[in-house]
Amino acid sequence: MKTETINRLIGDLDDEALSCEFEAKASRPRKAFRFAAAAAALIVAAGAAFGIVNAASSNNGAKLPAQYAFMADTSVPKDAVLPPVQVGGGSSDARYLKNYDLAQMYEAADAVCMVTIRNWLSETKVGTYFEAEVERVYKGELPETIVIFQMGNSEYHMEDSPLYTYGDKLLVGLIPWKHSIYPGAYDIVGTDIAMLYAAASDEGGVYLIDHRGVMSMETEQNIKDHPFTNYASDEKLVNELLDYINSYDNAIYSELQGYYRTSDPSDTRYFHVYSLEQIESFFSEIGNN
Amino acid sequence: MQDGKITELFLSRDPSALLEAQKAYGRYCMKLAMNVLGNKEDAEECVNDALYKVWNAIPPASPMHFGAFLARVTRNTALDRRKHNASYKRKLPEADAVLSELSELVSGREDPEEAAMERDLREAISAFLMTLPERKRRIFIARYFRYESIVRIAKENAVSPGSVKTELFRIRTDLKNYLTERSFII
Repeated sequence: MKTETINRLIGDLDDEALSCEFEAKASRPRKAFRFAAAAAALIVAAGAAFGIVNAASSNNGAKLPAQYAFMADTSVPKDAVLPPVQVGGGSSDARYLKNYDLAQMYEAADAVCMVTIRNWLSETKVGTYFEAEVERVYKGELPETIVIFQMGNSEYHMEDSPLYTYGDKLLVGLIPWKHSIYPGAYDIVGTDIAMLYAAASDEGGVYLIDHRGVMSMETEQNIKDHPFTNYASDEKLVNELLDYINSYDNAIYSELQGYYRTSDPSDTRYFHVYSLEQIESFFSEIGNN
Repeated sequence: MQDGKITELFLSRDPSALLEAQKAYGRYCMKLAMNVLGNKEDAEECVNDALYKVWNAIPPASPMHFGAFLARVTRNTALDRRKHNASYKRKLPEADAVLSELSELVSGREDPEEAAMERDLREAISAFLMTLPERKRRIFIARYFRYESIVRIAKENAVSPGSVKTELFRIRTDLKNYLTERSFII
Protein backbone atom coordinates (compact mmCIF):
# COMPACT_ATOMS: atom_id res chain seq x y z
CA MET A 1 0.00 0.00 0.00
CA LYS A 2 1.18 3.52 -0.76
CA THR A 3 1.43 6.38 1.69
CA GLU A 4 -1.12 8.40 -0.30
CA THR A 5 -3.68 5.63 0.14
CA ILE A 6 -3.41 5.48 3.92
CA ASN A 7 -3.41 9.28 4.00
CA ARG A 8 -6.62 9.31 1.96
CA LEU A 9 -8.23 6.66 4.16
CA ILE A 10 -7.49 8.74 7.25
CA GLY A 11 -9.17 11.65 5.47
CA ASP A 12 -12.31 9.54 5.12
CA LEU A 13 -12.54 8.40 8.73
CA ASP A 14 -16.08 8.17 10.00
CA ASP A 15 -17.83 10.79 12.11
CA GLU A 16 -17.46 8.81 15.31
CA ALA A 17 -13.69 8.57 14.98
CA LEU A 18 -13.41 12.27 14.17
CA SER A 19 -15.89 13.47 16.75
CA CYS A 20 -13.21 13.88 19.45
CA GLU A 21 -11.82 16.79 17.45
CA PHE A 22 -14.98 18.78 17.81
CA GLU A 23 -16.19 17.61 21.20
CA ALA A 24 -12.79 18.38 22.63
CA LYS A 25 -12.75 21.80 21.02
CA ALA A 26 -16.06 22.66 22.62
CA SER A 27 -15.02 21.62 26.09
CA ARG A 28 -11.31 22.43 26.32
CA PRO A 29 -11.36 26.22 26.17
CA ARG A 30 -13.70 26.44 29.15
CA LYS A 31 -11.40 24.24 31.19
CA ALA A 32 -8.39 26.24 30.09
CA PHE A 33 -10.15 29.45 31.00
CA ARG A 34 -10.88 28.34 34.52
CA PHE A 35 -7.37 26.97 34.94
CA ALA A 36 -5.76 30.07 33.51
CA ALA A 37 -7.86 32.41 35.62
CA ALA A 38 -7.10 30.42 38.75
CA ALA A 39 -3.40 30.27 37.89
CA ALA A 40 -3.28 33.99 37.18
CA ALA A 41 -4.89 34.71 40.55
CA LEU A 42 -2.39 32.43 42.27
CA ILE A 43 0.54 34.06 40.49
CA VAL A 44 -0.57 37.53 41.59
CA ALA A 45 -1.30 36.34 45.13
CA ALA A 46 2.05 34.55 45.39
CA GLY A 47 3.87 37.58 44.01
CA ALA A 48 2.14 39.88 46.45
CA ALA A 49 2.62 37.65 49.48
CA PHE A 50 6.23 36.58 48.95
CA GLY A 51 7.64 39.16 46.59
CA ILE A 52 8.12 36.43 44.02
CA VAL A 53 8.76 37.78 40.56
CA ASN A 54 8.47 34.60 38.55
CA ALA A 55 5.76 32.01 38.83
CA ALA A 56 4.44 29.22 36.68
CA SER A 57 1.83 30.14 34.12
CA SER A 58 -1.01 27.90 33.16
CA ASN A 59 -1.06 27.30 29.46
CA ASN A 60 2.22 25.67 28.59
CA GLY A 61 4.25 25.32 31.70
CA ALA A 62 6.08 28.55 30.94
CA LYS A 63 7.24 31.06 33.51
CA LEU A 64 5.76 34.51 33.18
CA PRO A 65 6.64 37.43 35.40
CA ALA A 66 3.78 38.06 37.82
CA GLN A 67 2.97 41.45 36.32
CA TYR A 68 2.33 39.70 33.00
CA ALA A 69 0.09 36.99 34.40
CA PHE A 70 -2.60 38.16 31.98
CA MET A 71 -0.49 36.76 29.15
CA ALA A 72 -1.21 33.26 30.48
CA ASP A 73 -4.88 33.51 29.60
CA THR A 74 -5.30 32.83 25.89
CA SER A 75 -8.71 31.20 26.13
CA VAL A 76 -11.79 32.42 24.31
CA PRO A 77 -14.96 31.78 26.32
CA LYS A 78 -17.96 30.43 24.46
CA ASP A 79 -19.99 33.57 25.09
CA ALA A 80 -17.30 35.91 23.70
CA VAL A 81 -18.63 38.24 21.01
CA LEU A 82 -16.36 37.94 18.00
CA PRO A 83 -16.33 40.20 14.93
CA PRO A 84 -18.55 38.82 12.12
CA VAL A 85 -15.43 38.51 9.95
CA GLN A 86 -11.85 39.66 10.51
CA VAL A 87 -10.91 39.99 6.88
CA GLY A 88 -13.33 42.08 4.85
CA GLY A 89 -13.91 41.80 1.12
CA GLY A 90 -11.82 44.86 0.31
CA SER A 91 -8.85 46.52 1.91
CA SER A 92 -7.35 49.96 2.32
CA ASP A 93 -3.68 50.61 1.84
CA ALA A 94 -2.01 51.69 5.08
CA ARG A 95 0.96 53.20 3.20
CA TYR A 96 -0.98 56.44 3.03
CA LEU A 97 -0.96 56.78 6.80
CA LYS A 98 1.57 58.87 8.68
CA ASN A 99 4.50 56.79 9.95
CA TYR A 100 5.62 56.86 13.59
CA ASP A 101 8.71 55.67 15.35
CA LEU A 102 8.38 54.40 18.93
CA ALA A 103 9.17 57.80 20.45
CA GLN A 104 6.81 59.65 18.11
CA MET A 105 4.03 57.21 18.88
CA TYR A 106 4.64 57.67 22.62
CA GLU A 107 4.70 61.44 22.20
CA ALA A 108 1.56 61.59 20.04
CA ALA A 109 -0.51 59.40 22.36
CA ASP A 110 -2.52 60.54 25.36
CA ALA A 111 -2.00 57.08 26.78
CA VAL A 112 0.29 54.17 25.93
CA CYS A 113 -0.66 50.75 27.20
CA MET A 114 -0.89 47.02 26.74
CA VAL A 115 -4.48 45.88 26.21
CA THR A 116 -6.33 42.63 25.72
CA ILE A 117 -9.14 42.90 23.20
CA ARG A 118 -12.42 41.57 24.49
CA ASN A 119 -15.93 41.60 22.96
CA TRP A 120 -16.72 43.05 19.56
CA LEU A 121 -19.24 45.85 20.16
CA SER A 122 -20.39 47.21 16.80
CA GLU A 123 -19.21 48.63 13.53
CA THR A 124 -19.77 51.77 11.49
CA LYS A 125 -19.06 52.58 7.87
CA VAL A 126 -15.53 53.51 8.91
CA GLY A 127 -14.47 51.19 11.67
CA THR A 128 -15.18 48.76 14.46
CA TYR A 129 -15.50 49.13 18.23
CA PHE A 130 -14.12 46.62 20.71
CA GLU A 131 -14.06 46.39 24.47
CA ALA A 132 -10.52 46.16 25.77
CA GLU A 133 -9.01 45.38 29.14
CA VAL A 134 -6.13 47.64 30.09
CA GLU A 135 -3.32 45.42 31.36
CA ARG A 136 -0.29 47.74 31.68
CA VAL A 137 -0.11 51.53 31.35
CA TYR A 138 3.12 53.24 30.24
CA LYS A 139 1.77 56.73 29.79
CA GLY A 140 -1.36 58.56 30.96
CA GLU A 141 -4.22 57.21 33.05
CA LEU A 142 -6.80 54.74 31.92
CA PRO A 143 -9.70 52.88 33.51
CA GLU A 144 -9.56 49.08 33.71
CA THR A 145 -11.83 48.69 30.69
CA ILE A 146 -11.97 50.93 27.65
CA VAL A 147 -13.53 51.02 24.19
CA ILE A 148 -11.09 50.94 21.28
CA PHE A 149 -11.85 51.95 17.72
CA GLN A 150 -10.14 50.11 14.86
CA MET A 151 -10.23 51.28 11.26
CA GLY A 152 -12.03 48.75 9.07
CA ASN A 153 -15.21 46.74 9.37
CA SER A 154 -16.70 43.55 7.99
CA GLU A 155 -16.77 45.07 4.49
CA TYR A 156 -13.13 46.14 4.29
CA HIS A 157 -10.03 46.07 6.46
CA MET A 158 -6.69 47.84 6.51
CA GLU A 159 -4.42 45.94 4.17
CA ASP A 160 -2.51 43.14 5.94
CA SER A 161 -4.22 43.94 9.26
CA PRO A 162 -7.27 41.81 9.96
CA LEU A 163 -9.79 43.12 12.47
CA TYR A 164 -8.94 42.32 16.05
CA THR A 165 -10.75 39.63 17.91
CA TYR A 166 -11.26 38.43 21.48
CA GLY A 167 -7.95 37.73 23.19
CA ASP A 168 -5.62 39.82 21.02
CA LYS A 169 -2.91 41.44 23.12
CA LEU A 170 -1.62 44.71 21.76
CA LEU A 171 0.73 47.48 22.70
CA VAL A 172 -0.88 50.69 21.50
CA GLY A 173 -0.79 54.45 21.79
CA LEU A 174 -4.26 55.90 22.29
CA ILE A 175 -5.96 59.22 21.57
CA PRO A 176 -9.62 60.07 22.15
CA TRP A 177 -11.86 59.11 19.22
CA LYS A 178 -14.05 62.15 18.83
CA HIS A 179 -16.57 60.59 16.47
CA SER A 180 -17.38 57.69 18.76
CA ILE A 181 -20.84 56.51 19.59
CA TYR A 182 -19.33 55.25 22.87
CA PRO A 183 -18.35 57.90 25.42
CA GLY A 184 -14.63 57.93 26.14
CA ALA A 185 -13.63 55.63 23.27
CA TYR A 186 -10.04 55.66 22.01
CA ASP A 187 -8.48 55.55 18.58
CA ILE A 188 -5.08 53.94 17.99
CA VAL A 189 -2.24 56.28 17.07
CA GLY A 190 -0.97 55.36 13.62
CA THR A 191 -3.86 52.94 13.12
CA ASP A 192 -2.28 49.58 12.32
CA ILE A 193 1.26 50.56 11.47
CA ALA A 194 2.27 51.96 14.87
CA MET A 195 1.00 49.19 17.12
CA LEU A 196 2.65 45.95 18.23
CA TYR A 197 1.20 42.49 18.80
CA ALA A 198 2.22 40.96 22.13
CA ALA A 199 2.89 37.25 22.53
CA ALA A 200 4.56 34.93 25.03
CA SER A 201 7.29 32.44 24.22
CA ASP A 202 7.33 28.89 25.56
CA GLU A 203 9.91 30.03 28.10
CA GLY A 204 7.56 32.72 29.38
CA GLY A 205 9.23 35.74 27.81
CA VAL A 206 6.92 38.47 26.54
CA TYR A 207 7.70 39.82 23.06
CA LEU A 208 6.25 42.42 20.75
CA ILE A 209 5.87 41.99 17.01
CA ASP A 210 5.96 44.73 14.40
CA HIS A 211 5.01 42.60 11.42
CA ARG A 212 5.05 45.34 8.80
CA GLY A 213 8.26 46.80 10.23
CA VAL A 214 7.13 50.32 9.42
CA MET A 215 7.49 51.58 12.98
CA SER A 216 10.79 49.71 13.30
CA MET A 217 12.10 51.29 10.11
CA GLU A 218 11.24 54.74 11.47
CA THR A 219 12.74 53.86 14.85
CA GLU A 220 16.00 52.61 13.33
CA GLN A 221 16.29 55.78 11.30
CA ASN A 222 15.42 58.21 14.06
CA ILE A 223 16.58 56.68 17.36
CA LYS A 224 20.13 55.71 16.59
CA ASP A 225 21.45 56.25 20.12
CA HIS A 226 19.18 53.57 21.60
CA PRO A 227 19.96 50.14 20.13
CA PHE A 228 17.06 47.72 19.87
CA THR A 229 17.59 44.00 19.42
CA ASN A 230 15.47 42.39 16.72
CA TYR A 231 14.77 38.74 17.58
CA ALA A 232 13.19 37.97 14.19
CA SER A 233 16.16 35.84 13.16
CA ASP A 234 15.37 33.37 15.97
CA GLU A 235 13.01 31.17 14.00
CA LYS A 236 12.17 28.91 16.93
CA LEU A 237 11.18 31.87 19.07
CA VAL A 238 9.11 33.47 16.30
CA ASN A 239 7.26 30.21 15.70
CA GLU A 240 6.49 29.96 19.41
CA LEU A 241 5.14 33.50 19.39
CA LEU A 242 3.05 32.83 16.29
CA ASP A 243 1.70 29.62 17.82
CA TYR A 244 0.76 31.59 20.91
CA ILE A 245 -1.23 34.09 18.80
CA ASN A 246 -2.78 31.30 16.77
CA SER A 247 -4.29 29.84 19.94
CA TYR A 248 -6.85 32.66 19.93
CA ASP A 249 -6.58 34.47 16.59
CA ASN A 250 -6.03 32.48 13.43
CA ALA A 251 -6.56 35.47 11.11
CA ILE A 252 -3.79 37.56 12.62
CA TYR A 253 -1.60 34.46 12.99
CA SER A 254 -1.98 33.79 9.25
CA GLU A 255 -1.18 37.39 8.43
CA LEU A 256 1.91 37.46 10.63
CA GLN A 257 3.06 34.06 9.41
CA GLY A 258 2.74 35.25 5.81
CA TYR A 259 4.79 38.32 6.59
CA TYR A 260 7.41 36.29 8.43
CA ARG A 261 7.80 33.75 5.63
CA THR A 262 8.30 36.40 3.01
CA SER A 263 10.28 38.76 5.20
CA ASP A 264 13.48 40.03 3.63
CA PRO A 265 16.07 41.13 6.20
CA SER A 266 17.80 43.26 3.56
CA ASP A 267 14.70 45.45 3.52
CA THR A 268 14.34 47.73 6.54
CA ARG A 269 10.58 47.26 6.41
CA TYR A 270 10.73 43.67 7.57
CA PHE A 271 9.40 41.61 10.41
CA HIS A 272 10.64 42.85 13.81
CA VAL A 273 10.40 41.21 17.22
CA TYR A 274 11.33 43.03 20.41
CA SER A 275 11.44 41.85 23.97
CA LEU A 276 8.94 43.70 26.14
CA GLU A 277 11.77 44.54 28.53
CA GLN A 278 13.60 46.66 25.98
CA ILE A 279 10.45 48.51 24.94
CA GLU A 280 9.48 49.17 28.56
CA SER A 281 12.97 50.36 29.33
CA PHE A 282 12.77 52.73 26.36
CA PHE A 283 9.35 54.06 27.40
CA SER A 284 10.65 54.56 30.92
CA GLU A 285 13.64 56.45 29.54
CA ILE A 286 11.65 58.81 27.32
CA GLY A 287 8.91 59.16 29.94
CA ASN A 288 11.44 60.54 32.43
CA ASN A 289 12.87 63.08 30.01
CA MET B 1 -25.06 27.30 16.46
CA GLN B 2 -25.33 23.53 16.89
CA ASP B 3 -24.42 21.14 14.11
CA GLY B 4 -27.98 19.90 13.64
CA LYS B 5 -29.23 23.45 13.08
CA ILE B 6 -26.51 24.16 10.52
CA THR B 7 -27.39 20.99 8.63
CA GLU B 8 -31.07 22.02 8.71
CA LEU B 9 -30.18 25.38 7.16
CA PHE B 10 -28.30 23.62 4.36
CA LEU B 11 -31.17 21.18 3.84
CA SER B 12 -33.65 24.08 3.53
CA ARG B 13 -31.25 25.85 1.08
CA ASP B 14 -31.01 28.85 3.38
CA PRO B 15 -27.92 30.92 2.34
CA SER B 16 -27.28 31.84 5.98
CA ALA B 17 -26.12 28.22 6.31
CA LEU B 18 -22.81 29.27 4.78
CA LEU B 19 -22.36 32.10 7.25
CA GLU B 20 -23.19 29.86 10.21
CA ALA B 21 -20.85 27.15 8.93
CA GLN B 22 -18.12 29.74 8.52
CA LYS B 23 -18.74 31.08 12.03
CA ALA B 24 -18.70 27.65 13.63
CA TYR B 25 -15.90 25.98 11.69
CA GLY B 26 -14.22 28.69 9.59
CA ARG B 27 -11.19 28.98 11.84
CA TYR B 28 -10.79 25.25 12.17
CA CYS B 29 -11.00 24.69 8.40
CA MET B 30 -8.69 27.61 7.69
CA LYS B 31 -6.08 26.15 10.04
CA LEU B 32 -6.46 22.70 8.51
CA ALA B 33 -6.08 24.10 4.98
CA MET B 34 -3.11 26.22 6.06
CA ASN B 35 -1.45 23.14 7.52
CA VAL B 36 -1.76 21.37 4.17
CA LEU B 37 -1.15 24.29 1.82
CA GLY B 38 1.03 26.67 3.81
CA ASN B 39 -0.37 29.66 1.96
CA LYS B 40 -3.10 31.95 3.21
CA GLU B 41 -4.66 32.84 -0.13
CA ASP B 42 -4.81 29.22 -1.25
CA ALA B 43 -6.17 28.18 2.14
CA GLU B 44 -8.93 30.78 1.95
CA GLU B 45 -9.91 29.65 -1.53
CA CYS B 46 -9.78 26.06 -0.38
CA VAL B 47 -12.17 26.75 2.51
CA ASN B 48 -14.51 28.62 0.15
CA ASP B 49 -14.37 25.69 -2.31
CA ALA B 50 -15.10 23.28 0.52
CA LEU B 51 -18.12 25.30 1.62
CA TYR B 52 -19.34 25.40 -1.98
CA LYS B 53 -18.94 21.64 -2.25
CA VAL B 54 -20.82 21.16 1.00
CA TRP B 55 -23.58 23.48 -0.26
CA ASN B 56 -23.91 21.23 -3.32
CA ALA B 57 -23.68 18.04 -1.31
CA ILE B 58 -26.38 18.84 1.30
CA PRO B 59 -28.98 17.82 0.24
CA PRO B 60 -29.00 14.97 -0.72
CA ALA B 61 -26.39 14.26 1.98
CA SER B 62 -27.55 14.83 5.54
CA PRO B 63 -24.51 14.42 7.78
CA MET B 64 -24.98 13.45 11.39
CA HIS B 65 -21.98 15.54 12.39
CA PHE B 66 -21.67 18.62 10.22
CA GLY B 67 -18.25 19.63 11.60
CA ALA B 68 -16.66 16.28 10.74
CA PHE B 69 -18.30 16.35 7.30
CA LEU B 70 -16.99 19.85 6.52
CA ALA B 71 -13.55 18.98 7.90
CA ARG B 72 -13.32 15.92 5.63
CA VAL B 73 -14.33 17.95 2.58
CA THR B 74 -11.85 20.71 3.49
CA ARG B 75 -9.00 18.24 4.00
CA ASN B 76 -9.68 16.46 0.72
CA THR B 77 -10.05 19.76 -1.14
CA ALA B 78 -6.76 21.01 0.30
CA LEU B 79 -4.96 17.79 -0.62
CA ASP B 80 -6.34 17.93 -4.18
CA ARG B 81 -5.21 21.51 -4.48
CA ARG B 82 -1.77 20.68 -3.14
CA LYS B 83 -1.48 17.79 -5.60
CA HIS B 84 -2.55 19.74 -8.65
CA ASN B 85 -0.77 22.98 -7.98
CA ALA B 86 2.77 22.99 -9.26
CA SER B 87 3.73 25.61 -6.69
CA TYR B 88 3.57 22.97 -3.97
CA LYS B 89 6.82 21.56 -5.19
CA ARG B 90 8.24 23.82 -2.52
CA LYS B 91 8.83 22.18 0.81
CA LEU B 92 6.01 22.18 3.33
CA PRO B 93 7.67 20.74 6.42
CA GLU B 94 4.57 19.75 8.34
CA ALA B 95 2.71 17.98 5.53
CA ASP B 96 5.89 16.25 4.39
CA ALA B 97 6.67 15.13 7.93
CA VAL B 98 3.15 13.71 8.35
CA LEU B 99 3.40 11.75 5.10
CA SER B 100 6.82 10.49 6.07
CA GLU B 101 5.48 9.21 9.40
CA LEU B 102 2.57 7.52 7.63
CA SER B 103 4.94 5.87 5.19
CA GLU B 104 6.28 3.84 8.14
CA LEU B 105 2.92 2.12 8.27
CA VAL B 106 2.84 0.86 4.71
CA SER B 107 5.03 -1.14 2.35
CA GLY B 108 4.92 1.44 -0.43
CA ARG B 109 3.98 -1.27 -2.95
CA GLU B 110 0.75 -1.33 -4.88
CA ASP B 111 -1.44 -4.36 -4.40
CA PRO B 112 -4.02 -5.39 -7.01
CA GLU B 113 -6.51 -6.22 -4.29
CA GLU B 114 -5.97 -2.91 -2.57
CA ALA B 115 -8.99 -1.11 -4.02
CA ALA B 116 -11.27 -3.93 -2.97
CA MET B 117 -10.11 -3.85 0.63
CA GLU B 118 -9.98 -0.06 1.03
CA ARG B 119 -13.43 0.22 2.51
CA ASP B 120 -12.72 -2.54 5.02
CA LEU B 121 -9.41 -0.96 5.84
CA ARG B 122 -10.96 2.45 6.45
CA GLU B 123 -13.49 0.87 8.77
CA ALA B 124 -10.71 -1.00 10.55
CA ILE B 125 -8.74 2.21 11.11
CA SER B 126 -11.86 3.88 12.51
CA ALA B 127 -12.48 0.87 14.73
CA PHE B 128 -8.87 0.94 15.94
CA LEU B 129 -9.17 4.62 16.82
CA MET B 130 -12.28 3.90 18.84
CA THR B 131 -10.26 1.47 20.96
CA LEU B 132 -7.89 4.28 21.97
CA PRO B 133 -8.35 6.49 25.02
CA GLU B 134 -9.75 9.88 23.92
CA ARG B 135 -6.50 11.74 24.47
CA LYS B 136 -4.55 9.38 22.21
CA ARG B 137 -7.28 9.51 19.59
CA ARG B 138 -7.21 13.30 19.70
CA ILE B 139 -3.44 13.34 19.21
CA PHE B 140 -3.67 10.93 16.26
CA ILE B 141 -6.45 12.92 14.56
CA ALA B 142 -4.67 16.23 15.16
CA ARG B 143 -1.49 14.92 13.54
CA TYR B 144 -2.72 12.74 10.70
CA PHE B 145 -6.09 14.27 9.90
CA ARG B 146 -5.44 17.92 10.67
CA TYR B 147 -1.68 17.90 9.84
CA GLU B 148 -0.99 19.78 13.07
CA SER B 149 2.57 20.45 14.18
CA ILE B 150 4.02 18.44 17.07
CA VAL B 151 4.60 21.64 19.05
CA ARG B 152 1.01 22.75 18.64
CA ILE B 153 -0.36 19.33 19.60
CA ALA B 154 1.86 19.38 22.67
CA LYS B 155 0.41 22.74 23.65
CA GLU B 156 -3.16 21.62 23.04
CA ASN B 157 -2.64 18.64 25.31
CA ALA B 158 -0.39 20.33 27.86
CA VAL B 159 2.46 17.86 27.37
CA SER B 160 5.97 18.14 25.96
CA PRO B 161 6.67 17.77 22.22
CA GLY B 162 8.82 14.76 23.03
CA SER B 163 5.95 12.92 24.67
CA VAL B 164 3.71 13.66 21.65
CA LYS B 165 6.32 12.12 19.35
CA THR B 166 6.59 9.05 21.58
CA GLU B 167 2.80 8.77 21.78
CA LEU B 168 2.46 8.99 17.99
CA PHE B 169 5.15 6.37 17.45
CA ARG B 170 3.35 3.99 19.81
CA ILE B 171 0.00 4.61 18.15
CA ARG B 172 1.46 3.96 14.69
CA THR B 173 3.02 0.72 15.92
CA ASP B 174 -0.24 -0.36 17.57
CA LEU B 175 -2.19 0.49 14.42
CA LYS B 176 0.17 -1.53 12.27
CA ASN B 177 -0.12 -4.52 14.59
CA TYR B 178 -3.90 -4.13 14.78
CA LEU B 179 -4.21 -4.18 10.98
CA THR B 180 -1.70 -7.00 10.51
CA GLU B 181 -3.50 -9.16 13.07
CA ARG B 182 -6.67 -8.68 10.99
CA SER B 183 -4.88 -9.91 7.87
CA PHE B 184 -4.65 -6.58 6.11
CA ILE B 185 -1.69 -6.37 3.79
CA ILE B 186 -0.41 -2.87 4.12
